[in-house]
Parts: sequence; C-alpha cells; structure tokens
Amino acid sequence: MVNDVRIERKNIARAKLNAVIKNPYFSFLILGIVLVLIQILQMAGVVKVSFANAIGGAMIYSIVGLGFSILLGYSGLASLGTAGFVGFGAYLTGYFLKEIGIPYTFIFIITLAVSIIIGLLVGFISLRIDGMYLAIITLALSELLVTLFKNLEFTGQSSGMSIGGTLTLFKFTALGFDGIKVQMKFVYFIIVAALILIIILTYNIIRSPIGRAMLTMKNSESAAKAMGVNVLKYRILAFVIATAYAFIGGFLYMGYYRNSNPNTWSLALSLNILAAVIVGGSKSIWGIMSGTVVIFSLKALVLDNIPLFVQYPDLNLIFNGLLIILIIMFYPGGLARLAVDVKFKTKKIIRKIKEIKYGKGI
Amino acid sequence: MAKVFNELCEFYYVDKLEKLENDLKIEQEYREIYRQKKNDRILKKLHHFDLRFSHKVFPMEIKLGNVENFYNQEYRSAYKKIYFKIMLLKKAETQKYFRQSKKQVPNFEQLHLERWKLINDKEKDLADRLKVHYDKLIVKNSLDENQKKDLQKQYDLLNKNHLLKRDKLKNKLESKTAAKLETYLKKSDKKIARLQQKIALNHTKLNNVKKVYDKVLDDGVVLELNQVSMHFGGLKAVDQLSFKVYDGDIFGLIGPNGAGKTTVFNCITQFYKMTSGEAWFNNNENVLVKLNDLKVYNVIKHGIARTFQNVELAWELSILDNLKVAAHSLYKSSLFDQFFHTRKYLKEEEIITKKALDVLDYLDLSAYKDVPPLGLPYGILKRIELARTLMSNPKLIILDEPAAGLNDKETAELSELIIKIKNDYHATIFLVEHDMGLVMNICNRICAISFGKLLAIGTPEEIQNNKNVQEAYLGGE
Repeated sequence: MVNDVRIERKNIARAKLNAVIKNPYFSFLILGIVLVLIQILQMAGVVKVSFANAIGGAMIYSIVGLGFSILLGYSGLASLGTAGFVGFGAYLTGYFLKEIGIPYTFIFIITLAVSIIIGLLVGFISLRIDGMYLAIITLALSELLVTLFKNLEFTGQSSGMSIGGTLTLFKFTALGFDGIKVQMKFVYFIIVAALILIIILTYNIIRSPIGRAMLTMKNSESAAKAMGVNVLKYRILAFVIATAYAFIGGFLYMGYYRNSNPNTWSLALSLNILAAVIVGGSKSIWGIMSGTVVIFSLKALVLDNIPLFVQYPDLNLIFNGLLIILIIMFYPGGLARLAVDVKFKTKKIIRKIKEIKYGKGI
Repeated sequence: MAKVFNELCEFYYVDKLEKLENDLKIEQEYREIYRQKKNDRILKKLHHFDLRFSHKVFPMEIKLGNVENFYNQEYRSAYKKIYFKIMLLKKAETQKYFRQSKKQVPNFEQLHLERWKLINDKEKDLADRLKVHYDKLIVKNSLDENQKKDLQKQYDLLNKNHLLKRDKLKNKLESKTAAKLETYLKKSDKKIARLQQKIALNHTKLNNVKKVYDKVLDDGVVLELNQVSMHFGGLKAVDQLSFKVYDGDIFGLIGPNGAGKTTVFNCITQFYKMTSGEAWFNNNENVLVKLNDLKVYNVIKHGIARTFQNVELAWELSILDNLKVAAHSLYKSSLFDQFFHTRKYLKEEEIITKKALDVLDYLDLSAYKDVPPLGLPYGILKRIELARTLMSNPKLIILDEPAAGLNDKETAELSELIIKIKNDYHATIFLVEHDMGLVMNICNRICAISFGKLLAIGTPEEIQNNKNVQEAYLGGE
C-alpha cells in the first residue's frame, strides 16, 4: 500500500520533470546556457579563441539560415538573395554606428524597420514569379546590392567598412545616462540572446496557423486557396520574415566582426546558406543549426586539429562539397532526419538486445 | 484589413455622392436666378436710361409744371445715397463690435431698427425739403400759354424719340441676354448631364462596395447559377448554364466526360472567373452574396467547402494539422498572437484541435491523426478530404467525384456517410459523379449537362426517363 503510493508519487514527479525537460523551449534555454558557457570558458582561458569565434560565426549564420528555411522549407520559395541583405544590414549598422553615433541597441529598431520595408517590396515583386525565375531575380537583387557596396562612398568602397573601439549599448543623453560601453567580445552574449529569441520565435511560427498555411501553400496551392489561406499574404509574410532575419544577421555580424568587406556578400555565401539549410534538414531548427556548424565552422572546430587539413588548408572546401553531395544523394532529409533515424535504430537495437537477453514476450 | 478598406470606401462614396447631389441641386436652382439676374440688369439699364432722359428734361418739366413723378425719382436716388452711406457705417460698426467683443455677435435687428428710424426721420426731412425746393422752382419758371404749347410740343417730340430709343435699347439688350442665356443654359445642361452620370456611377460603386444587389433569391434556394458561361478562348466549356439548388438537397451534376462539370465547380468556387453570368449564394449568415465578387480564398468564409478530384492534401503535415488548416478561416487571432503564442491564440488552438479530433472521431479516422498522409490507402485519403470540409461549418459542401476509385462496398458506405453528414451538419450537398448507382440512390435532384449545355433538371426518375439524357449519357434505349 505504501509502496503503491511511493510509486505513484515517483510517477507524478517523473511526469512533471518530463514535462519540463521534454518541452522544446527548455532545450533552447539549455542551448543558450551552453553557448554562454563557451564564451565564459574562453575568457577564462580554457577554450581556444578560434573555437569561440567559430561558434559565434555559426550562430550568426544560423539566424540567417532560419529565415532562409522559412522561405525554402516552409513556403517553397527559392531565394538566392540572402547574402546581399545580410551585407545591407551590416553596412547599415556600420553607418549608423560610425557616422551618426546611435547606440547599438537602438540601431536594431532601425534595421528591423528597413528590413520589413525591403521584405515587403521583394514580396510584392515575387507574387507573380515562381521557382527558378524567382531564384534568378533574387540573385540579381543581391548582386545589385553588392555592386552598390563596392562603389558607394559611405560603404567604404572595395576596402569595406570597419569600426574600432568600444560599442555603446544604451545612451539616453536626455536623461543624463551616458551609456554602457562594452568591449568587442561582449557582443557574443548579445548574439546568444538574439539567437535564442529568434529560435523561439521561429518555433512559434512553425507551430502556428502561419506555418501550417505556408506548408499547405507549398504542397498544394489549390487546397490552400480552397481552405481560406490568402496565398498572397503568406508569400509576402515569408519574404518579410526571411529578410528581417537576414538583416538581424548583418546587424550582429557588424557588431561581432567589426568590419565588412563587399567580397564576403557574394553568391558563395548565399549558396553556402542554402547548403547549410539543406544539409541540416530544411524544416528542423536543430537541423539548421547543426547544418550551419558543419558548413561554416567545421574547419575551426574539428578539422584544424587534424594535421592533414592543416597542411592543405583548402582541403576543407573539398570536404564540404563532398559532404553536401553525399547527404543530398543519400539522405535528402538532412542531418535532422539522420538523427531521427539513428534514434529509432538504436531503440530497435536495444529492443533486440533485450529480447535476446530476456527472451521474447516481455 | 479588407473590411476596414471597404468601410472607408463606403464613407468616401457616400460623401462624394452628397457633394455631387448638392452640386446638381445648386446648378438646377441657379438657372432661374441667372435668368432673373439678367432680366434685372435689363430693367436697371432701362431705368438708368429713363433717369438720364428725365434729368435732361427736368427744366422743361419744371416750366410745364408736371413734377409730381419727379418727386419720387429724385427722392429715391437721394434716399439711395443716404442708405448706402448708412450701410457702410453699419459695416464699420459691426467690425468694431467684432474686434472689441471678440466674437460676440451684435444684435443686428436692434441696430437695424435704430438705423431704420434714422432713415425714416431723414426721409421725412428730405421729402419736405424737396417739396419746398420744387415749389420755389415752379414759381420761378412759370410761363404763359403760347410758350407752354410750344414747349409742350417739343416735350412730346422728345418723349416720342425717347420711347423709340428705349424700345431699340430694350430689343438690343434682350437679344444680347437671350444669346448669353442660351450659351449658359447649354453649358449648365452639359454640366447637369455630367453630374447625373457621375451620380449614377457613384451609386453603382457604392452598391458594389456595400454589396447591395437588386436580386432576391426564391424561398429555400441556397445556390443559384444564372446564365453562367466559361469560355477558354474559342472553347465553350460551359454555355449558358442555369440551375437552382434548394436547402437540404443532395444535388447531383452528371454528364459525360468533358461536359464541363469540374469547370462548373471551379467557376462556383472562383478558381476560374466565369466569362459571363452570375452565381448567387445565400451564405451562412443568410446574406445574399454574389460569388463573382469574391476572391478564391474568401469563398470558404461564406460557407462553401469543396473537395478535389485528385486528393489534395498537404503531404508534409500530419492529418490533424491538415484538418487544422481547413479551419484556417475560423482563427481570429492576429499575427502578433501567433508569433508569440499568447493566451488568446493558445485557447483558440485548443478549441480547434478539439474540433478536429471530434471530426476525426466522427469519421473513424482517429488512428491516423499524427501520421502524414503519405502512403495511406486511397479510401482513407478520400475520407480525410471529406473530414476537411466539415471543419469550416459549411452550408454547402461540394464533392468532386467522391466515389472515384472506390469499389461497390465502399461506394455504399460513402452514400450512407453522405446522408449522415447531411443530417448531422444540416448542410446542402452538391455532387459531381459518374457512378449512376450512387447518384440515383442518394440525390433528390439531378442536373444533366453535355458539352457545357443543360440537358435536363429534375428528380432521378425524370432524368432516367428523359430522352436527351438517355441518348447523351445513359445509353439510348
């Protein structure tokens, strides 16, 4: 009798714990804590600087990748213009920081506003275009922006724009508050915060009528229309979200790397983000993050420890290309699918082992 | 958003209509005033002409002794001078009042009375003075008989000439004003015609926005097609088709392949815009709606749900999610609520999830709720399509070949299911089907079409016995 009560209490406690641990929001929080720990360990000297830098870069690109996945994975719209928008965001923040001297957090609002306007424009342009032609048009937009960056005075022309010194976070001169000034690597924590918030936002979007409507739009446009989904509205919304994420990525890039060269914002970056999203699984958040780490940070995280790759530094590009080819050929679902399959297979194996050990029927 | 836009349009059109109607009224009333004004001008000019003549002739009149008329004329002009002086004084005083009292309006009547008293006093003064003056003049200028006669003759001549000249002047002035009046009346006629056109246009626009239609549906009619035609270039897929669907019907549309049945469906649900004709629908709030005015994704809000011939499900979503998308038009939470998963959205989500689970239960599909529709048997997919239509509280359910690919047993189950749905959800059902067993079994009215044209409408027995239908479709006997 007492045993039953104890078992029941244990079950209730386990259920409560499960409710917290298995909650996806909890996993995102743990991710944030882990990322923050990495930087703290780096400051304390335990972790290499290159490692932390690689993680920082991967976080920025995963934000851009999440926006891209909403376009590609959830709405089925091909867009190769992400690099140009990220660059635009970076140059915009650089300009406001350098020339006008607005504090960093206030520029966030400006970048968000500009990104929404540009996202609306691109969305309207895309309403009549589909598939490959949309990809070409967005590519043309991106190249147009890059040529602007290379030629305009205020973006520093071909040599790029750079900002030095400390970064002011808040400044209310009217209230007499002079501002919190931070050193360069503090921006890492801002990136972590932004990443976690954006992950939560994306997760919410995916599991809401918006995400479902976009998927229906992608799979069967007539069914979507018949069920009341305003396809025009959701196409434009997808573009607005993707552009906003790209601009936020650029904003964080400028804060973290402190310089911006027009050669970074090329087609290669757009294609790398596309590869990251597809390698990771175009509809899974964890998949995209692992995909960006694989494509953008594998070199600094893993390969620099292997002497072969240190000897021939360009070998990592070949490695990347091979990886992309293999995964798309044999595992189109990406790393996320791989993880799910591995989980099921291990469960099967464990069950088989139990059968062998205890015999069938248990 | 669209609702707000519609309301603003309505206000704009109502305002414009008021302005236009006011313009029209003003234009129509001003014609009379214009005519009167021109005539007044003529009279005024003639009056001045007479006055000048009388000034010339005054000494003669004095000598002749007829000055009685002249009292009034001279007196009136002098009075006018005084009156205008008083008007100017009054204006100055009112301005002073306004400046001093800062927007306190003075009592004009009292002022006017005071002025009028002054004028009356001055009138009397003036009259007396004039009379004295003229009497003196008459005494001064008195003549004897012969001189008077000559003078009289001269005076008469002058008078005659004056009258002739006056007539000439009158004719000239009248012809001029007639010409001016003509041009003005033409202009104003054109303006009135333009304004009336604009008013008619505004009325139609307003009616479009307000969705006020002249049409009234018969009792019990839920859907009416009126001379619907769909032309694809030269091909007439649907040609002047009209029929009515009554509430509680199971209405069947039959015809050989290529008769245009799916085109009719697409025209009703606005996937195609029909080239001519109208489709009227009595929506779930019992308001008459012209389906031609609606966009594709707004049709479901009025209570029309449709299935597809080739099962169109989102193969990346689970079946429960597919049903939740079917209720997309029922969500009232905004984008902000959906971005941040506010309480309002979570409550709505729970309600709709429960509804979806109930519908799945109703159709015995609960086992498949978390599975994507990939690889499921065809019969199950058809039932999911049916479940999707039930999510949006439809008044009219349109089924596009629901028995395609099903064997006899499954078709029998389907016919039972359709009748069950009609009874439980109080919906009207509109079928397109090739399986005559199903159609003749459950439909209570059938419409047969061929090559886009109507062959016959009626009960199953009537259709079976109709010769045209037999020839075209059932196999002539």
